[in-house]
Amino acid sequence: MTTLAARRLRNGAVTLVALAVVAAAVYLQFLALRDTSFLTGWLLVIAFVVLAAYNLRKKLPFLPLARSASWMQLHLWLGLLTVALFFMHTGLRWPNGALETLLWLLFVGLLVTGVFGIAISRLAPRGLTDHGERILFERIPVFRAQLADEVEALATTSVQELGSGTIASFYSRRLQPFFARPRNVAHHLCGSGAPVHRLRRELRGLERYLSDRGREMLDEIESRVVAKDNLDYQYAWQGLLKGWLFAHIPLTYAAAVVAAVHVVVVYAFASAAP
Amino acid sequence: MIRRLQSFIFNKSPYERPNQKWVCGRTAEGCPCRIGPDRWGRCRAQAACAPRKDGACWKCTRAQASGGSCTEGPRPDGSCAHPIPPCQPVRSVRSRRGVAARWATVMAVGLMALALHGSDAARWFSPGTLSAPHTQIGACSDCHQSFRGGPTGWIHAAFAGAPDVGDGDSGLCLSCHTLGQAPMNPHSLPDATLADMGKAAPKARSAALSPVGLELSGELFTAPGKDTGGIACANCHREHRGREAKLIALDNQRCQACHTDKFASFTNGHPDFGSYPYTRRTRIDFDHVKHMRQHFPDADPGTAPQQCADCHAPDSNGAQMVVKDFGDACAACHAGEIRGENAAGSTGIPVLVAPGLDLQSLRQAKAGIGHWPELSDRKLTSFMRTVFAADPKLSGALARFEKLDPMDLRGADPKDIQAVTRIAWATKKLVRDLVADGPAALQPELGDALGHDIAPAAARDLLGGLSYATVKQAQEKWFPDLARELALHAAGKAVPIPGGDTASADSAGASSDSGGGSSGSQADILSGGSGGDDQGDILSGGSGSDDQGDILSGGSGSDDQGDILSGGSGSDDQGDILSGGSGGDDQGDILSSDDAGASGDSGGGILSSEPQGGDLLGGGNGGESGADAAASAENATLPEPNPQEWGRLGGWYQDFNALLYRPGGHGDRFLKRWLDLAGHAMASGRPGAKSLFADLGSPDAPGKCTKCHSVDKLADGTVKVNWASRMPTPGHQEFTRFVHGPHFTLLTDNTGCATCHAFNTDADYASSFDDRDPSTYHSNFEPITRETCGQCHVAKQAGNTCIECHNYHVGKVASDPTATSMKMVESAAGQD
Repeated sequence: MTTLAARRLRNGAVTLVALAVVAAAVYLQFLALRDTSFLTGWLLVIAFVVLAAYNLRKKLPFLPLARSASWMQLHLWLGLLTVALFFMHTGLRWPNGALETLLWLLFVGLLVTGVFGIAISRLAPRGLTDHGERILFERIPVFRAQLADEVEALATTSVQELGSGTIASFYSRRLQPFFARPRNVAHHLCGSGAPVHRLRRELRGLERYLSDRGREMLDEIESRVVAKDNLDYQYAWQGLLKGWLFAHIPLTYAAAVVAAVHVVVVYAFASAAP
Repeated sequence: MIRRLQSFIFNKSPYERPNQKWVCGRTAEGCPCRIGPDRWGRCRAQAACAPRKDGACWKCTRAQASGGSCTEGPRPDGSCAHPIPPCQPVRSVRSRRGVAARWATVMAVGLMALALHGSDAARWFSPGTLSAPHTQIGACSDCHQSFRGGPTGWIHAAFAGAPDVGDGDSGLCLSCHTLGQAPMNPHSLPDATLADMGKAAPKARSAALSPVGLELSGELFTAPGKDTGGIACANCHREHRGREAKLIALDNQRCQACHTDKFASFTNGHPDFGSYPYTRRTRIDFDHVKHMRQHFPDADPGTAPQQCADCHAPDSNGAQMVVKDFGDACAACHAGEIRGENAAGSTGIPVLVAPGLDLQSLRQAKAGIGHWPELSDRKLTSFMRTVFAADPKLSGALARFEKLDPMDLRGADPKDIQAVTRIAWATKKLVRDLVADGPAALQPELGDALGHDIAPAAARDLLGGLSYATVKQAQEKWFPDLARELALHAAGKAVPIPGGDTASADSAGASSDSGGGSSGSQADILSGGSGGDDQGDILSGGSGSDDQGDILSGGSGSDDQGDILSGGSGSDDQGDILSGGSGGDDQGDILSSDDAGASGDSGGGILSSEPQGGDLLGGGNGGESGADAAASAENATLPEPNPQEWGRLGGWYQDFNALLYRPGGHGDRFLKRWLDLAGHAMASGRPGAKSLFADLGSPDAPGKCTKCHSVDKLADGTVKVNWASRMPTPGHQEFTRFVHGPHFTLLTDNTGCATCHAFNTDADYASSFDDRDPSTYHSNFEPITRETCGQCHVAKQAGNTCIECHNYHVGKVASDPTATSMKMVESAAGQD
């Protein structure tokens, strides 16, 4: 079984070699007074189709189309190669014309979101693991509701047991909104724990007003606050891990449509034979 | 204390299916049902369990993950005691992502449809702004043929095959741009021309210096345009790159895409220049070295040029150095020579003559040609030969005539005599036509003769200026009874040659009956006649040039040989004892006291008819008694000038059986026109054209045109005199472009022009003009070397791109003036 480093080395080398071959072919065609946009354009189309086929592969797991992990590797490295192809095709300049500008923006959006996706898929898991309990994204709402019910029950009970509304009023003022829905997403994405620290500080500030039982209840509540904070962290980062695809995949379809129109227009108005 | 939430124990952990489109709507409340919605998003939950009948009892089957069996148990009817109210299912994350993707697709398609069928599709689909020179092109269809078809046409054009280059968009480029003979070919040149140039071109300096990429590219790809009928304009000129884009910029390597011989750069592999710029001989035969070393030092002070710029000046663009015109550059030394000043031989060109014939033999053969000058020894001129050859009826006779010696027909057979007779009559008819209709009568004949329509302006140059008096005088001298003789000949009557002895040479007596001629001073011993045939006029004062045997003739012709008392003023006054000639060779003129100086008079002869002063026995000015003066005054006659000298300013004159033309100076239109026409006629093999050109085009012929103006034979057989030095052709591009102007300021050292144009003193320049092949050339100058240019033209200095010095499109590349009809001008005026 190859190590990650070996796999990266192998795939990187193959990508570089492919890039060199493509660059040489383009350069030779350029020297032959041909319009290299046709070659680079069709290579881009082929790369695009192969990249987009990964989504299809994931929807057809029953077909013997190699492992999804292999497809993922192909998708990643071919995506990087596509960046080079794209700039070979467009040149290092701003686009002219409305259609070409739109297509350029779509492709750049795809490239940026794709690179973002590679980065986030490498950075997020470690943080998710290090922060606390790993929760399945689909279960986060269930556990959040569960925690909210438990804290509400504790707050209600505290009135009866303690004969004081301290915890209850704190609950209604600060804890209920906190448990109502995911909170502090931006702080979690930035790696900041300031909001939950503040909340916990406020919670601890109630100790002087409470008896021992009240402090026990406060501990219970605090554990659930920590759990809820972890849920929010999980929600933020897993949401990002899933959410970037909300940009990447629609951009893919839009780019495919505009690219098809671009190909037709190019061939319709090409003044020089490819 | 850490609150753990998640459990993966099988009976406590529900199975998540993120690939499903819908999830239970109670997930957010924390109590999703285990059943979940169906694939269409409909809630399927009804109860917490599906009770199972166990014997007579119903058992609760709720899953342990949901809390296990309930304490209430199912109802007696078997329904679950815990019904689940239906929820509103929500889409899963994946499903929502799919919806987003579909929305993006629909929006993209909608946007494209709006753009395609909108009012400004061109603007939406244009790939960018045009370059500055093309900004005024408003419609896409001006450059793109397929635009006219609309969106459906575009789709069709995209899938249809590309037309040949010339029929495609490149053809629309040519609606505005003129690009040489074959615009779609490399360098806009025909294939054959390119092939020839490729063979002749110098090779790249070393195969080792050839760029690998270029070689490999040449191996892998066919030359552009081979399969498409030519190279499209867009192969090199990429538009829609913004206003500042340079349409003509092209990479050095790409320039060589079609070349079989490739190299890396100007200083690295570029072929040597060969004989550039001296690829053909100069059009003007001017030996720089000989002039610098010999002629200029010998020239009169102030006439020789002191520097190159005295003869050479930049053209209006500052690009090429052209030779100044004759008046500025050459006239100081050569103008007189052209006019025939101080010429040893005849300065006139015989055009129309009465050819010399052996009249005695003709009489014996009873050939009837009528009156003919006895003493003419003129040869048939090329002009006459050319005209006669055009007449099919005369061509046979002319061919036979040219093989004879017309002056000796003793051994001639009857056919020869007949040929001579026909030529004689043709000559007479020619003279008659001239007399009757003037030079314009010959215009159609010349056109037929030379195979070229003669426009009025050309006819003016060819024959204009020939005066009626000159022609009439010639006719009266040569054929005094011309009209009668032609009438008799036309009637089929015999017209015998009158006379038969030398004493009465002309038939002036007979001609006087018919009133044909008035030149008759023949047989006047003491006549002061001016007839040309003063044969036997001992004391005639004839002015004809053929005064042979006139002892006391006062002839003014150049052939005053043996004229003892001639008062000739010709240059050949050899042996004129009493000549009063004013010619250059007044050797031994005993009694000459000519005061005519350089004039062409013949004054000074003893008994000459020109009683101009200075003559001892004549009616001169000096030393005469009053009675003698009165007597000579009675006999005074006008001088008979030497016609050649009289016409030294140029023009027509009649002299001894010939009508001659003397060139008036440089650029003489007569000579130029005749040489052009004769040279052109040689291509079609017109008889007479060759001899005509040979006569006029000899370097020693009057005018000496071809002494300096080189003669080229073109591929079609035309012989062309190069009247002008090399001049740039407006709107015409050559392969190599060099502009002198910007280089002037760089030539500040002592060598100046010689930095590039160094003399080659060993070159045999003169031999370049031994033939008519312009490529035969030994230049006075050393060829310019690549190293000379390479001193400055490197990448970091003056630049060394291919297009710095080379044009791609060769030939006529200037656009023609826009076609504007009068109607358009009028309508524009009406709009003002």
